[in-house]
Amino acid sequence: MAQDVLPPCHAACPALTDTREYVRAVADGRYEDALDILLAANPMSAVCGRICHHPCEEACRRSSVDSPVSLRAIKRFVTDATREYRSHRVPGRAPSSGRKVAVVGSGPAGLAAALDLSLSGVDVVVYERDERPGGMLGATIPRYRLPYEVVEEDIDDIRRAGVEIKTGVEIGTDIGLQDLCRDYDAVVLALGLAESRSLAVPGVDLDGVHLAIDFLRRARAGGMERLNGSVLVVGGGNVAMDVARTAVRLGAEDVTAVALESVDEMPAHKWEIDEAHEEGVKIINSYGPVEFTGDGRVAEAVFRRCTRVFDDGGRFAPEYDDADRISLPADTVVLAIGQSADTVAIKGAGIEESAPGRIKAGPGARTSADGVFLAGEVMTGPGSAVEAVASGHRTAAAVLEYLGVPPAPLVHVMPSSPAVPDIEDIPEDVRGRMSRIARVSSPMRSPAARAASFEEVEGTLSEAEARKEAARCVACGLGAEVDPDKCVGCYTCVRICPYGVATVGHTAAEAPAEACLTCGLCAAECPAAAISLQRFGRGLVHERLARALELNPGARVAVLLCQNALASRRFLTSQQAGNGPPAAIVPLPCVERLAAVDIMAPFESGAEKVFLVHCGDACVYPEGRGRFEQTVSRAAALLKAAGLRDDALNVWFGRIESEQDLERIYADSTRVGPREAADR
Amino acid sequence: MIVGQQKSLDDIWRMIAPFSRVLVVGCNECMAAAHAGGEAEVAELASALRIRARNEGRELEVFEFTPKRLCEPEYVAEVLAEVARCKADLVLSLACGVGVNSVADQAADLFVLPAVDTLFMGTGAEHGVWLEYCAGCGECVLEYTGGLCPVARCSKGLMAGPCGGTRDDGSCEVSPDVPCVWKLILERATRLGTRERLLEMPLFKNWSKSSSGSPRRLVREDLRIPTEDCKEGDTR
Amino acid sequence: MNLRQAIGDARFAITVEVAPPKGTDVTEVLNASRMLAPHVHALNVTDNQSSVMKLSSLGFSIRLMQEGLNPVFQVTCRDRNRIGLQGDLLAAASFGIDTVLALTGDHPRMGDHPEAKPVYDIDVIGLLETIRMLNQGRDLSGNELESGPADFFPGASVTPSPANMDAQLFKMERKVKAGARFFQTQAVFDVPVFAEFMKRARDFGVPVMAGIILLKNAGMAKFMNANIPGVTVPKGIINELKDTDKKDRRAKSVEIGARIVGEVKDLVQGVHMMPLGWDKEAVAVLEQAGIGLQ
Ligand SMILES: Cc1cc2nc3c(=O)[nH]c(=O)nc-3n(C[C@H](O)[C@H](O)[C@H](O)COP(=O)(O)OP(=O)(O)OC[C@H]3O[C@@H](n4cnc5c(N)ncnc54)[C@H](O)[C@@H]3O)c2cc1C
Ligand code: SF4
Ligand code: SF4
Ligand code: SF4
Ligand code: SF4
Repeated sequence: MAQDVLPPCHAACPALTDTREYVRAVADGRYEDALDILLAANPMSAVCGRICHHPCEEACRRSSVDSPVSLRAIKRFVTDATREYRSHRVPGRAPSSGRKVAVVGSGPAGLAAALDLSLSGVDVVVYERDERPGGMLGATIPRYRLPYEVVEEDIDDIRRAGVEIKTGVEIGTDIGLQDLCRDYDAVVLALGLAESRSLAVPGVDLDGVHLAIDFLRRARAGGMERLNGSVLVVGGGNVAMDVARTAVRLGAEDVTAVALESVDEMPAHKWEIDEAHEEGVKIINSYGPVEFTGDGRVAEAVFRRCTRVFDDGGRFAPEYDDADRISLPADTVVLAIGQSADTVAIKGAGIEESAPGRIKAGPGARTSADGVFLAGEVMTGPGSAVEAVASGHRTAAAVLEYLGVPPAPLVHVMPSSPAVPDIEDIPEDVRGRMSRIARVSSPMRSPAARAASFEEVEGTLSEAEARKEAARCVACGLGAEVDPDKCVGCYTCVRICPYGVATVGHTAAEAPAEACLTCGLCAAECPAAAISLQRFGRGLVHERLARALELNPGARVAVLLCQNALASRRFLTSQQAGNGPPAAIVPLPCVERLAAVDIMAPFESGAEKVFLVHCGDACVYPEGRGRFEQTVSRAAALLKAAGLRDDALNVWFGRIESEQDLERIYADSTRVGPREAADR
Repeated sequence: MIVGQQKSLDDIWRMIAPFSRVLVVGCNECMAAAHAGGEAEVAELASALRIRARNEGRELEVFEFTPKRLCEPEYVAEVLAEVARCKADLVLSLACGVGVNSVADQAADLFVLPAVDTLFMGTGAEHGVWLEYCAGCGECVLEYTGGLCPVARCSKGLMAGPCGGTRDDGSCEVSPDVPCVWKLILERATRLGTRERLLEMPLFKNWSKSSSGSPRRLVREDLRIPTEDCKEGDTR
Repeated sequence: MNLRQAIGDARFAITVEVAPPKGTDVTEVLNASRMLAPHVHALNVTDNQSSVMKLSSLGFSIRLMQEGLNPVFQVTCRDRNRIGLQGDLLAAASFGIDTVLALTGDHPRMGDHPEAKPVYDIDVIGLLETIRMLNQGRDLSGNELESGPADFFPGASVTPSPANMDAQLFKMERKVKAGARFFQTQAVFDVPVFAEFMKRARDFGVPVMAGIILLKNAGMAKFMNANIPGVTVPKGIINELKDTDKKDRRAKSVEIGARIVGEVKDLVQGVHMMPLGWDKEAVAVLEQAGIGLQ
């Protein structure tokens, strides 16, 4: 009966990372589990926590209410918080299949493919012509966005999974592709798009005119000289923004990006443009280069107005107004107008190209040569790191099939067709009843400080911030599920639901996943115990209570706390280390979801006093607070009748910042008594 | 639905004093809808009993079982199986009185006690509020009164119009918490133009058809499955 | 002259209420009754009024009869089913008691045995119909009375409540149709409102006797406003009482009562005094209002 609802955030991730689950794991304080969930889908998670263009956030259903959950920032928090754990994490490999595969290129696509193959028991060697593995991630993406240590973190894992990486070897020159084909059972070409496109305009060969990839590559390697004067970047994409911002850091006094596209058409992400702006980059839209002039070295660039970039069919077909020209002074020009593959690897190997420099890709990522496959941007065209990872997974699956080797359980299997979320936006009327909660974003250094160096611009969320942000996720699709055999159609759920979600149909109540905000109030109140909340199963309280009692046998005090109240999980781990106070600390996804009987559970196990910690103002479901207080009173009435003392049940609202707060909770809790009995 | 209310824990505790293995049995129908004896309340009561037992150092095993209903013999059979399984010496019923009787009728040697006061037939008007709407009087008068029952909803069960006690705000003199149903009946009849119908309502109600008569029994020969010892026409 | 005769002769009718004691000694109530009797046509004997258990109205009505006084036997539907009611009516008739005030009766919840099970087998309209049957010589099941037709003179009550005027008139009309020959009303204080009511009640053509309660102090007035449905003591009267010295209260109370009687006497066909212990004052009211037995 359990519905398996794919939330849009999950579906939107090109590598199909189980967003909802890792966010829940963070809320639970299970950061290591969160990392495992991340890596199961995306071995480049540390990298993506820094630079992913996060389509998951674009799809997050909170967007329609306030703003999306900061998924990328949470991911970054996870990988940063679990470095120690990760360094000991050795993914288990399937027994050797006796098969060997060579992967050419150590970008995200090649690495992802290599990992899947290796996990499945294939011996994999990755050949990389650069000195350092990582592809564009290590070679060109500016280090103020992505320090190389982060790339290494991800790569170390892949190495631990048995992947061998040979750097400084260029296929096509150092070793021929034919040799690889002979020595290996299959070859994966994950060559990326290594070269910037140039322009056929007068003056491109003047000194001071650069191509973006070369420019960034040199800058990243520290081999780019300081810049003076004006820098013109030609292009309006993300690469152009990286070039412009790099130029700023290299000392250029005046950096201008000239884009063919209008503001709205610019391919660069909005946040990249904004950050560039903040760092002083100027942007001129709707102009294309005509010529570069200068005496040996470039001094000026002439542009003409672009009246249209795309034709009616959406194809790139710029039209210009030759009469409208501008010329700009330029000491340096960088062309960032697109990339193409460097196909030296297939030189002389007889592999078909669909156009010069474009390897022809057949179904299942195959090339025209038997056993030679493609992965990543060389096949898909320019995209993002996570898309390259997804492509790597797909190609690995094709290779495994080709080899007749079954994919190991740890291998992330991508569906053949794009994932479609099972739920759409939160319905408008539900949205209208929800509280707006401010989003916590990654900390950014000030523009001035950023522009002055290649230091990383963005920071990592603190644990408290990450937890706060994780709490904003309403775990879409994990809401109320009604057992129609038990439901008596009493309408309690309908009357209780703060969001007007539940309805009673012909046979039983329903809480459509699309609308349910997974607060669980109905589950707490259903008299027939017909509702279970997927986010918070019926057995969870007992399970966690039992665990807490194991750590603290015979505890006379139990603290049932909303884990969103915790600024840090240290509060819990200190318990686990056995040096906490003699109380059973029971973290729960939410205390508003508790039914009276849940609140009574610790007393059955011998507790004399129970403290309920509600996350207070941090609550994502402030609408349920009154109901919560009523439930607690009801439990208090039952407990009183059962002979417990008046101070048996206590509530505390607020955030727990440190271990010492337990004393505060003990001291400042409000004791709860039964409500006035109503008239018959 | 039938509406009921759990007895106080003190009363229940007193009742179950002689027993040591108690099976709390609910009803996932009316008593669930009444928030008195559904699976959730069974769990609550069982928990409260365990806590009290622990608190008072008393040996008490409490088991839980919630059949769909308890008002048909077949459901009782389920309960008896459960009793055997957990070797219970008492069935503590959170079903309405019908359930308790059903168990008692079918299990001559088993103790069964009510943990619910069965109240009335009515509606759950809002969460936490139930109203009596029907008295099961055996001879429905709603055809005259426009659907509002004076037998169940007038404190005095009057047949021919309000007493002199209707309060100015329209509530009943006996209980200010309920509206004077006769005032409602008259207003409704005026709106619907059916005041004359009110005069046709029998003044002398046949109470022998109500619970004031002998215990009621309904036999439908058109439905009944004939058996050897229960021939057609037998209305025992 | 008793009430039946007074009404029959279309005289201005006067009655007063007496309440049987909680106990077996009726001396005091009898004395009061004797004192009141010369001023009124009949004495209403209350039937466990406000559901407070007392010596029965039948018993005390018989005593009055034996004393040569004229009782109005008040009968409520609260405590007896149709069998008990008929039996008591026949018993009353056997003592010569014919004037009966048929009432629904307060609910037990209002009295000193609030947990009692009320009967209400039939209600007041049914009771009036029952009396009609007995007057036709049959019981409710149609069996003939051995003594032939009885000869009851039934009356009923009405609450001239402004808030529920429609409902009360509906019920009043049914009472008329069921055979009520006179009405005694709930206490009247607000004369203009009462006049409104009478405008419509007059059409039934049945004599109406205005109920008069003596207000002992402002507190009592406020209590009645809050707790007795259909009764409204105007602010003016409450203030009048409040502003009166304690020692002059009785006089004031009488003055107010007499004033109300004076104001309503042309609207109605009689008055019904409910002295609640202030028997002498009740007499004083009648005197001050210039109302005597005609
Ligand atoms: C400037 C820039 C900024 C970017 N910013 C982002 C971003 O913010 N977010 C994001 O998600 N993506 C970003 N991307 C895109 C991302 O880097 C790519 O999508 C991704 O790296 C593609 O992966 P790949 O494995 O297909 O190719 P690549 O990463 O290009 O890797 C290909 C590898 O193959 C090697 N190779 C090629 N030929 C041979 C050969 N003959 N022999 C041996 N080795 C060879 C290359 O040296 C290279 O290491 C950016 C790209 C650029 C250029
Ligand atoms: S609220 Fe959570 S589960 Fe829902 S779309 Fe956003 S991140 Fe995904
Ligand atoms: S509260 Fe439970 S029993 Fe009642 S309608 Fe909802 S699901 Fe059904
Ligand atoms: S879980 Fe919350 S939002 Fe969902 S149906 Fe239940 S009460 Fe409504
Ligand atoms: S006030 Fe209305 S509901 Fe109450 S007893 Fe009188 S007639 Fe019935």
